[in-house]
Amino acid sequence: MSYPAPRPRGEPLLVFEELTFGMQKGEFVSVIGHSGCGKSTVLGVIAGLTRATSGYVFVAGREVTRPGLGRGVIFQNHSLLPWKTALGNVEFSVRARYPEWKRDRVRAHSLDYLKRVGLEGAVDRRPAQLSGGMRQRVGIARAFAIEPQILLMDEPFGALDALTRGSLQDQLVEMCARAGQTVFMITHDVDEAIYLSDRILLMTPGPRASIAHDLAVELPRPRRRAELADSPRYLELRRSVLEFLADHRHELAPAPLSSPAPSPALTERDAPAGA
Amino acid sequence: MPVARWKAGLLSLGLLVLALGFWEIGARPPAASSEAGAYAALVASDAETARLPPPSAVFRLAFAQLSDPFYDHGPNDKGIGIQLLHSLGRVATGYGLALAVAIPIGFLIGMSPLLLEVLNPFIQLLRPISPLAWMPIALFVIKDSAASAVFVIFICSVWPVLINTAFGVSRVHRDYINVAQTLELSRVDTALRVILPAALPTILTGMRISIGVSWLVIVAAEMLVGGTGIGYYVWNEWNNLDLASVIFSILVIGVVGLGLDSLIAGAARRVSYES
Repeated sequence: MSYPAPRPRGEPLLVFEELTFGMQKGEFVSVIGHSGCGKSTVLGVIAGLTRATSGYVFVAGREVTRPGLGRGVIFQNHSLLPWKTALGNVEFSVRARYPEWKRDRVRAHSLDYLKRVGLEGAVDRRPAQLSGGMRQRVGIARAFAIEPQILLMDEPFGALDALTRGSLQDQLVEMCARAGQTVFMITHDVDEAIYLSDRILLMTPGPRASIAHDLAVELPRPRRRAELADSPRYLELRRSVLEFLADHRHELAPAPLSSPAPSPALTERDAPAGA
Repeated sequence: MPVARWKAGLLSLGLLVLALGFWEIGARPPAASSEAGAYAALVASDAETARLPPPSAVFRLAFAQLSDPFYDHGPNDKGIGIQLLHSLGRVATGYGLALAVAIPIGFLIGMSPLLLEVLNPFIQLLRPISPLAWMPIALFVIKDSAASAVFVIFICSVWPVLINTAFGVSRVHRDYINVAQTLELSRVDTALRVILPAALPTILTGMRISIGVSWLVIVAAEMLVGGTGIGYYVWNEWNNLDLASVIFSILVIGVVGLGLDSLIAGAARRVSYES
């Protein structure tokens, strides 16, 4: 999947500029950056929910111009339909993905995914009757159930407490490994990014943001938190990311609104176009 | 702290008994004073007919009427049951038409800001016109008094549903639309399976207001055009100076109005959801 140069979006404000990267199938890529640097916008462009002013997005060799079932999205606030039960929400997505399936098959498939996120006891509850963590789990089940080509997650665990976050991350890793899922995730949490990802993209603060670094996370899988804490590579990565975030804190002042000079996108690794 | 229902019920009942007590006592004629004389005895009867009938008289009448509600002794003397059925039939027709027109148009207005701008002046102009003001034109154009009454119900109950539907549809959360888009739902599916359920509670609020308006209007309209119906019944009894009947029938109007409202409120409860 290649992603050459999406350029600025919006009339007066250049959110990001000359932003280019690629992903391989089955890779888990995280994006880290300060608030407001445009990470969610990038995700929106990949999903097809917004359009970049110039540039292209390709998924599996086809251009993305609008949202679709090939790009599953887990939103920051779960976006579950509040008048449906947890099961109803998952079934709704599954039916959209597999319209030819019979009702029993849809139901069984949906229940299976809800079970994988540990919610089999709560399938008939509506979102208002679920805790924040449970709602996100429904969101995860819903996204995985449609078996998308790429999963896009916008700070999926941002609103959760540390314990819930930890357990959901583990469930996520397991489901991704099982499905060989390609994932693109936005997060604020450095530890989460390192724990989950194969690569971490570091975005400069906006406006006119771009990807400053592309770090490979060469930690063997399956990863265990307790072991990671002692791993030198982990600590090194962690320090790099935190330093990057600290260094670039000062660049948060808005740039003047003159015509943009392209800023180079540094990559430590060439991004090959993948399948 | 929620009030215990039986406590409130008991107090309501107590209040009712108190009010009826005052009414009963107030409706009694004053005791003829000893020095009044023959002349006073003559005018005392006037004083009596000029008073409101006491609750006891109303209850007696109510009992008589309700024990045989469907009698038919000719065009000016039909049972209360028959009158109510006529009125309810007209309400059903007028209200039904109002829903059939207001919900689809409200939907379209809610989805199109342009349409809202275009139609808004007309809505705002026509909405405050009193039902009785519509009567002359309706009678002149439609020429049939029963149909005119139905039209007047329609033209007055269409606005709350129209406005509430438009409002509800326009306020559907962007998140749900995003979900529909990522699932590649067609526009029709998005409208029927996402937007409509999301807007339904607001639509039902409008419907609840409208049923109240319809019932109000039919009574007024029937007073004007006569024939059959509870409104006509009230007016006829007034012309007969049978105040007990008038009081009884307005109580019946109140009870039926309450019943209609409860019906819609029940429906509103069933489609509501917490978000």
